[in-house]
Amino acid sequence: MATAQRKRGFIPLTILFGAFLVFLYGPTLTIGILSFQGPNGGLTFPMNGVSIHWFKALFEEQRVGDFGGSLGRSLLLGLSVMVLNTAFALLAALGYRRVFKGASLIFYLSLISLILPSILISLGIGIMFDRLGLSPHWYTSAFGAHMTWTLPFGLLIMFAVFNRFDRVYEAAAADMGATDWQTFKYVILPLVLPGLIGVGLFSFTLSFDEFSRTIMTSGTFNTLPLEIFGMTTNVTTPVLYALGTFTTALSFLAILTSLLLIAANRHRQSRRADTP
Amino acid sequence: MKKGAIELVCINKAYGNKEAIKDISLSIAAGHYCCLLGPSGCGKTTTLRIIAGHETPTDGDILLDNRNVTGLPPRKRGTALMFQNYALFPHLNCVDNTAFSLKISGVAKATRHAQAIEMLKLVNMESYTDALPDQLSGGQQQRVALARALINQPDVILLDEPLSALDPFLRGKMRVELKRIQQQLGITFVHVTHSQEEAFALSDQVVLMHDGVIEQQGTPKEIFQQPKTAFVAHFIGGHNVLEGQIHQNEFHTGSIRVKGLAQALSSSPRTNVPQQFSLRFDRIKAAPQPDEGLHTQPFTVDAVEYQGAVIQVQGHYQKGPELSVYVSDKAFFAHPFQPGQEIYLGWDAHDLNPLQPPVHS
Repeated sequence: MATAQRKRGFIPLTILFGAFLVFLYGPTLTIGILSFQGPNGGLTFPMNGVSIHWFKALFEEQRVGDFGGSLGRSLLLGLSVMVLNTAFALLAALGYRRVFKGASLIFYLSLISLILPSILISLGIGIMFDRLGLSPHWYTSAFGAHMTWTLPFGLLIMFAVFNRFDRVYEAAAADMGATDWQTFKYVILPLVLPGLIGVGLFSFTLSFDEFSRTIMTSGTFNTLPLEIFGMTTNVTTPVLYALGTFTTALSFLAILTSLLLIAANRHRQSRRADTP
Repeated sequence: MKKGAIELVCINKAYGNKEAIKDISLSIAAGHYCCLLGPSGCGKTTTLRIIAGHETPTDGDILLDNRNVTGLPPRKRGTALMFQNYALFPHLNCVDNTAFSLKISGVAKATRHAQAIEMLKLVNMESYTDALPDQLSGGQQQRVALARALINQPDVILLDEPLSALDPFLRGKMRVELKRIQQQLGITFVHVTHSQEEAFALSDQVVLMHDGVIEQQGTPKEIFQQPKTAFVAHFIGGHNVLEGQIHQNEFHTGSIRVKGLAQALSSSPRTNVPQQFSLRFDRIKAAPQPDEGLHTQPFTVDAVEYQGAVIQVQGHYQKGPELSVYVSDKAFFAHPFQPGQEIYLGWDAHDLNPLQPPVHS
């Protein structure tokens, strides 16, 4: 039915959607193109030759920024937040499967940090560290600030996962003599694993590009978003664009890796299913 | 001696104020196929779960082979429960699902897989060893669930509505299969169902439950031939329930009088006592004209339902009971009736089965 009658709004809505795509991806694409600017090129078009000069410059010591160091800090911070947050969310969701006193109070208290402006939380943590006479660091105060942001998301995802979890599997495991720990290890954990991977990825990305909760809490050394922000005000060469392209590519790489992992897992299962 | 004798002694189970099971005592002989039959909410599944150890009775004892297992967890009882929707682990293939309990008890991989494949052979699923549950049909999933339940060589298999998720054709096939496996292994099967057809087809012993008590138990034949109460007669189907009074040797229901009750009632006939009888649909004769042996009062036909081998005719007496009658297709099509038409019915007094008043008030 290739010639099926199209609805009247089809063409204007397609144009609108096209415009939206250009608005969404245009700037990223522009930055991507400009990051290959020749060594003598500037921040705007026209292109003055094509090179990877600015990518090389990225990894050399900058006059105005420490890109390598801040990337390392952000990666380490993101990974730590990912691990701790996944563990927290799993344990909390397991805890919430029973009714306990104060359950909803604790739930709402942990959700409040989603609603409060990030910058206030950042400021509050910064002031608290100051009052307590502690010096803020990216791996202490900023780590905590990031957790306030990722934990509610992790909780909500795991609640949804366990909402759909059929407890009959646990009863079946118990009927076959499994202890609580064996049930957790062989039944619950494999079944909620996709949800846990989701929480992990989410925690990492939320932490990796978190700006406002880091700005008052990171102490002496910058994380990557802070570094980039600093560079936007100082750097006047296309190295800035190279940085943008590089971090975008990094994000895509992370997504691609997780998709490949999921596909590989599916493949492994279906291959097992196919062999006679 | 066969293993797997079950004895329930005065079992009670209450959820808050609601009593799910009221003082049930029941014994199931080793190696028997027993069906717990009843409408939803009658306590049959709770009873099964109490035997399995997934529910703790509020009061009472459970004995398996004369061993009191009341406080024991499921695994220590020698029972295996097959869940209603089978509860196969979706992330494990058939072999790993079947071998799960062996893995739990630390059996080496090669050994447990070999045993699992043996079990899958028993249920004719050996060619699906590597399939995941969601790649299987309902009937296949059930076979795997059965293999998983059997692998620990339990003395008792407990099945919670095992056939209700299958389509009618498959249900009939799996019914035969369940019976075959039960007889082959000689172990006790306790099977919860709301289908009397299923219970009659499978059981050595039918336990009919209603409102948390056992309404009647016995062989399928005993239950169908002599339902004890009006509830049983209605539930198993194919029975009319007549209400009336006994006067000397006669039963009066409306304007209908049935003579010669003496043989039908074991106890001596009483007078002016309200009494209920059940009367099977297929034990009523129907004819378009009055005849000897038929009641003289006309019976008005309200509905005629074609059921294949028989035609179910529903109707009522002007002053008397509403009745359903099975007429064989041969007799019916020789003299078909229409709704609204008047016909004549008759039955023998000894086909009246006296009913007891309800078990509970």
